[in-house]
Amino acid sequence: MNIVKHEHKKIITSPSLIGFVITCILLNILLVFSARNSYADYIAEVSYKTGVRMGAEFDRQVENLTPSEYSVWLQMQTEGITDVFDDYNAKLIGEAYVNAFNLYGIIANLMVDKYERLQTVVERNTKTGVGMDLYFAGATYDRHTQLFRVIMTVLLFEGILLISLTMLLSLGHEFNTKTEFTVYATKTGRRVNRAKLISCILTGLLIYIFLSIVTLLFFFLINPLGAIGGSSVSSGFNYVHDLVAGVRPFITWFDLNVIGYVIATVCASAGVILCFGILSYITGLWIRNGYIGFLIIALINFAIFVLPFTILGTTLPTYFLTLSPIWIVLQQGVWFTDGGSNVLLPHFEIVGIIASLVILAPIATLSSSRFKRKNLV
Amino acid sequence: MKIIYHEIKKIWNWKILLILVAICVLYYSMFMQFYSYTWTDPWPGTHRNNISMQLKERYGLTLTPEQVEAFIIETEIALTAELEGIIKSMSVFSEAGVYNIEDYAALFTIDEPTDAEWKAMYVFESSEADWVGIAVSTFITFRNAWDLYVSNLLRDTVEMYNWRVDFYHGLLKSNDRVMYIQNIEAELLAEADIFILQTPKITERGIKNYEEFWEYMAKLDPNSFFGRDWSLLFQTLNSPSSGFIDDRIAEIGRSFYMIDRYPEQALNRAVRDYLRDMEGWSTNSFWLSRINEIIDTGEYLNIISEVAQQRTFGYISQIYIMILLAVLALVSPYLATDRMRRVHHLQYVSKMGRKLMYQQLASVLLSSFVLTTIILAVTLALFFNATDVLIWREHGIVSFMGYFTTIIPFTFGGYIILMVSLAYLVSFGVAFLAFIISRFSRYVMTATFKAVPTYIALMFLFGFIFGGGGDSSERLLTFGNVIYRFTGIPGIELILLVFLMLLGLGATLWTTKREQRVDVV
Repeated sequence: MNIVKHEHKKIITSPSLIGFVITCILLNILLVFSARNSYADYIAEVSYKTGVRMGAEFDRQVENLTPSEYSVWLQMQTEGITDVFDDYNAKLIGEAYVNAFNLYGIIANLMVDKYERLQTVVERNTKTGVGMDLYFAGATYDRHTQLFRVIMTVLLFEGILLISLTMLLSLGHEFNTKTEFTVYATKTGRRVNRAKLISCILTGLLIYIFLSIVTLLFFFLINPLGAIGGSSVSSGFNYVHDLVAGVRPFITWFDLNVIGYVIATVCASAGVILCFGILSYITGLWIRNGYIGFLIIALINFAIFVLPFTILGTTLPTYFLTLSPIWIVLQQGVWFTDGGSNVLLPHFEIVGIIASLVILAPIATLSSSRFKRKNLV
Repeated sequence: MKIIYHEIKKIWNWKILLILVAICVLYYSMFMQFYSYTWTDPWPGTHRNNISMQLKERYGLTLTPEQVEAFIIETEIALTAELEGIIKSMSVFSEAGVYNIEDYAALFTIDEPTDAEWKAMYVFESSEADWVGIAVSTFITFRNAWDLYVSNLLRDTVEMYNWRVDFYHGLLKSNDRVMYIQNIEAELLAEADIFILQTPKITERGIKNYEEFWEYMAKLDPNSFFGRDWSLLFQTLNSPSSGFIDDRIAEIGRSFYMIDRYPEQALNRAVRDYLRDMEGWSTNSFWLSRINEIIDTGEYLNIISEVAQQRTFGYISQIYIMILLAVLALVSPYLATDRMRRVHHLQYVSKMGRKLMYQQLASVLLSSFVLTTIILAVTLALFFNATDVLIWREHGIVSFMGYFTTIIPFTFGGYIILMVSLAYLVSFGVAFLAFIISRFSRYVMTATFKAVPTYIALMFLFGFIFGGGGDSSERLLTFGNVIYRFTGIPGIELILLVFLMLLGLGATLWTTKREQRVDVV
């Protein structure tokens, strides 16, 4: 553990890392300020009084609010609203995708099956009435997009960059300082890489959690949540939009409120960051020049993003590749939902993270074994 | 020169170059290739381009209003004949009781069409009819653009803005707002009735007053192929000669809506926000003089292909991203590698000493120049080979057929040359930054920590300066540019670019000069 501690200290005292983290915080603060919406703030403020479940009682409470521009808007948007999940048929989405992309065979079956399972979620939502949750009423889409599709995505990318750069910096440290012949000739020798792996993963994840906490605290300070934290993200005011299925409700597999969705997103992001950390570890063991290693990681991920649909088309290998870490990152805005036309499996983000870890872990072990035997001269 | 040559060899690391080539190829296939390979597809863009080509072949660089009118009439006749031919040849029309173009036009007035009638209504938008519906809708867009261009340019001028300011200030001050609005409305309606009675173009249709005008207009479809009445009549009532009377009456409706919607406390703010949104263009004297220039000189009569503009400038914007990445990626590790290996100690005790850094700077600039040239040559060759956009090089880009308005007149070729030249400016600016990053990085990886956020920040900055990809109307030196709209200073994008480059140059020279005296051990 001493070595892990020393490796950890080497990383976190790096001025470049500190500068990078400060830059990330400044960028995130800028993004938080750009999310300001006074109408959403008003809804958060009055939500303690009105509650978050629309209906007759909610309408009565809204009528009793102090008259203002926003109280009028809120009343206009919520009075007489109906549950979006009543008579909603999610299976039609699957059929639309199958027709639009000419899917057939097992791919078509999986796609249809996914939306049949989604229909059971719709029925659950109808019973629990989450479609009648307020969220931020007419400001929902903007606020949800800003928090979950902009800020959380930026945090995720920051975490990925941090862990990748940190891992490559750490693994390449002996190469850079020309101390590898000394270090790798010691009793601990090449096992030091295990300590590097542990310290970098820990550092990367801890910094990500730190950034997330700072950013989200700042976000909720500037853009208060009020009682809306308990509102379901599957509210009728929230939606996704795609070219084939059009505008449709935001349906999560689990019943998640806003706070729950934040926590779930942070946890899943940590999983994705871990995948990239291990990928960087593997790359760093094969390529001693960290800079080239970083470019290779960028190239591989860019290729995984570009090649599937352009070369492989809508085939099974393509849909396997959409479970890769980079694809999970790019679909961050629809985590814990059906995922749209690019995925065939429910809970694609969890499946993808686990599958990636299962594939990367043995490769990391083999790479480490190879490195122990590698001729460095 | 020998030293510069060897330093360039150090910069051009074959491993980094290979990776960059692979990334550029992937980037091209994902984000750039479609700008050229959809050139012949039967989409609206192709038809818009065809219209421009026809006009070019017939009239050259510009045309007159009479020529536009003649072209519109001629195209209407040709399209009508084509539609008639299709109607006669396809059974789907006879099954719906449609035997000619008049029967087809009548389908759209039916309240509840039958299945056969629905099918007949939209068969023109299918491959069965060779997508002729797209050609028709493209033509309607062209015709409407012509009919409404001048009045759209002129409508939000300072006179209209001042009228609105006076109107709303009066509204906020009055004790009985509904009465106030009703009085103004009565005055405007009287003014509109007088104008209508004095305008033969309107009265020859049997219209005697404003109410009858909109009853007549309600029966017309602004996007119908069958007749231009809607846009011609709309333009008449929304023109400088009418004092934009229709716009002012529409403001009455808006003001009723605002006093209905906003309670007392919110009305002031709502009005203030509304007026502020309009203020930008209406009181911008540079914009006003430019649109007067466009109208007085007839610059809007240039013949140009909107599609060629969108494709070309969107494509070049993507090239910038490639150049940005390539230069930053190639140059960032350069000096850091030397420092990592302590090679600079050896270099500084040589005869040349620390003046070597000037040679290294020259190597960096030369490398970025060559790299930029290669990227531009390859990407532009691919694009110009796949498309025929260069036939527009002598044509003015501001036109009722175009999609953006530049602050000064440009030809299509001139604008391309400007964007290509600025690519070098961008490249040198990035090279300066990368040089500084590399100098102040102990290891190559720490240089990467600095290079990545720099790249992201520069992408955003250049996005604001040059406008994004696709059909962005926020291009360099246009009135839609984000930085121009924020500052109101004409040419601010160029000023900013040159300033940043000079700043980079200054910082680099300072770094190099500083290197002559700092302690490096």
